[in-house]
Amino acid sequence: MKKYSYIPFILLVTTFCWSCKKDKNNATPVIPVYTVPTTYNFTNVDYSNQKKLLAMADQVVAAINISNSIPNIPVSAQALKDMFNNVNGHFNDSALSLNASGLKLSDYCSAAAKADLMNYFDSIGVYSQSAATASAGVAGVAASSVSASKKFLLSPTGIFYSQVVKKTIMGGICAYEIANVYMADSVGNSTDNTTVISGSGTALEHHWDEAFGFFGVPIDFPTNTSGLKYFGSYSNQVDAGLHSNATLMNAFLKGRAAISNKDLTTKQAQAAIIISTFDQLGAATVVQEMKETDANIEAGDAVAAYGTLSEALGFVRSLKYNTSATRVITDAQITQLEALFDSANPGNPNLYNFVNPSVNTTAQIEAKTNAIRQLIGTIYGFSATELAAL
Amino acid sequence: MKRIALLITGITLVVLLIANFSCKKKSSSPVASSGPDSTLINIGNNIILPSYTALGNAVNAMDAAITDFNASPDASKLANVQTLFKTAYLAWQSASEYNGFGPAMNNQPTLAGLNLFPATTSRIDSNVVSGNYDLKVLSNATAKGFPAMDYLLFSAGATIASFTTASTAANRKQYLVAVSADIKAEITTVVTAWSATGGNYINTFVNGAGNSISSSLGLLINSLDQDFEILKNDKLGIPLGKQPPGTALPVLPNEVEAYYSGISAQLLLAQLKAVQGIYTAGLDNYVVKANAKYNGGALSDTIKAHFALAVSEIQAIPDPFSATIQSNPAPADVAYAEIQKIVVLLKTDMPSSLGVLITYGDNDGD
Repeated sequence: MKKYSYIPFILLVTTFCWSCKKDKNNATPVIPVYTVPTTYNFTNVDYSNQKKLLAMADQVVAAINISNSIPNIPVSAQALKDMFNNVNGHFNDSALSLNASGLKLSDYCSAAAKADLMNYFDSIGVYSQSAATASAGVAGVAASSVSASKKFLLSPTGIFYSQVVKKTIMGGICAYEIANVYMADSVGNSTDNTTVISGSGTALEHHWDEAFGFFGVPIDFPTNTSGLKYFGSYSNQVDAGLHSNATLMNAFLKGRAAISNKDLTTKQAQAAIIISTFDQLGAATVVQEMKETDANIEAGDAVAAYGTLSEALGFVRSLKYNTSATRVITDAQITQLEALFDSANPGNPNLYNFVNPSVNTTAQIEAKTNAIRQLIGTIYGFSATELAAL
Repeated sequence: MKRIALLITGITLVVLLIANFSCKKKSSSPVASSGPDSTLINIGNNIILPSYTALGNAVNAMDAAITDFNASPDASKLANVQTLFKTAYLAWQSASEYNGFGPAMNNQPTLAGLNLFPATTSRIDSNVVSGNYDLKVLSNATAKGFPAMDYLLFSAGATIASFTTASTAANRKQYLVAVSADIKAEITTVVTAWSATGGNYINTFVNGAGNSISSSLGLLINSLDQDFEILKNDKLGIPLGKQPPGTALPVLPNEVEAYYSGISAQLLLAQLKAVQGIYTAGLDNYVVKANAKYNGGALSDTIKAHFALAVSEIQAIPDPFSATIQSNPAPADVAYAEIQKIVVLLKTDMPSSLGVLITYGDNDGD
């Protein structure tokens, strides 16, 4: 009796084999036969550390956001650094037991991003002591003109460091770990894929799963788009132009199945897709922030525009944390891109020069956001239609 | 057990057959993939162009009356300007649906900038006093357009004396003229760009077949939905203290559209009916052709039923909305709940049945 119940599954597998590809003239090499599941539902998957690290990142950003308050509330730079290094028990402990986890964001961070974050924490520590209303040259807090409950601690140059930090964590930890650490492993065939540890699989499987954990999506993404975090959320926001949701999820699924089935060629191919897509995703997020900046400008909300421009700046700087040999954008082009934020102060832009409300028209400001959009389009080969949909 | 296995086998075979069919280019899309589309022609010629023409005529009439008023202001001319302003603001509600694409979007600044409310009245006052301003700069974004007119013509200080004998009367008249001229210039540019005898965007629109993100249908639905969310969030949700959701917020009566003239509910109704009109001018046909279902019934019937319900619920909101929001918020709460349902239908169910992608974001800061 039990035998028969296999038949439907065999048929199902057959269906997959038949599916939509044009048949490639039978020159197929011998590849292991295995099924790729449609959700990230494999045996021996454990990315609980990534969940904890992202929860830590949430709390670092939340600690910074306390400063977005009128009257001002100072934030200790040392406390932020302690959180980053997980010392002195600063996390709100939950079932995740973050303080006692032994995990440190700093252990997962690119060296360049770590140096930048330390500077950002120091800046927040200093600027959050200002009781002034933010204005050009004066650190302090300003409120959005559209939604007065949204407040922003801005530097004297209009930088909203909370978002720069968040984007640096995304680029310097999440994307860096995925593209430069875990996927590099898979490309290089250097990690053990033989010894299975119960609960976490082989070392290579575990690395792949940890990379997936840093993506920030549910196991049935993109069918399910609830609870998206970090790059998961951004992939979904730029999906109309980049189609990154399916590309990334399929590659994660296919690659993980390939690893478990010792299909090294497919695994390497999927790793390459993930590395390349994360590179494009990083660039696409900058374009997405230009769209949000335009929307803020069109709503007459300069303060919110400093926020979205700061997000973009964090993303632009994050591009350089990716040290993959296949990265499309060059260091020189990243410098060029950052200079478009303020040609008078390249590398250290004054956003009050980008958006000067009493002087600039929306047309003038949008010409600047468009220059950034166009440069990214040129570098990454995004068409006008794709750029418009990011 | 065996029977179940056989059943599954049967189902699988069916699935397999369907899977084979699905390899072909999807023929199920209800949207024509090339050439002028009869639905687009209908929406373009019979809905969009007349709406823009009406808006253009209304702002021209308002602007002419303001010029006349400015030359020799008196109470009856002020009343006339006030009436013509209301007509123009109502006409705007049937054109704002197209703010997200084509000429209104390509206009600099984008046409939607004519209705950023609430107005920053302190800025308007200081501009009037100084007499020195550039309406195009960002800091004046909420000191111009319809909300600025609303304040200049209907606030407690907008007496005939404020335009005749007050020390700032000359400056106030001049500001009224400048705001009106700015509205007229921007709308004229967009109306001309759509017109067959002008920029002929209507031709681009009716020929923009298909359902891609750059097709006319893709652009229209995104623009329509974004505008409808302004109705839900800015015109209802924020004043009612429902935005952002999930937190108990105070009602904000002075955040309503048309706070000073007190025609907020009329404007809400006009916008809702305009969106309903666009839907029944052909989007409904697409949804019917797609054979889209909703809870077992036809999706299109569901959408139409919710529109009808929302119209009657908005009609039940008494103006001035800023007052009833405090004394009698129940009708607006009911309407808001209904509008939320329509947003889901128009932003999720309808686009997915037509294969249209929603590309605008919520701009939530992350």
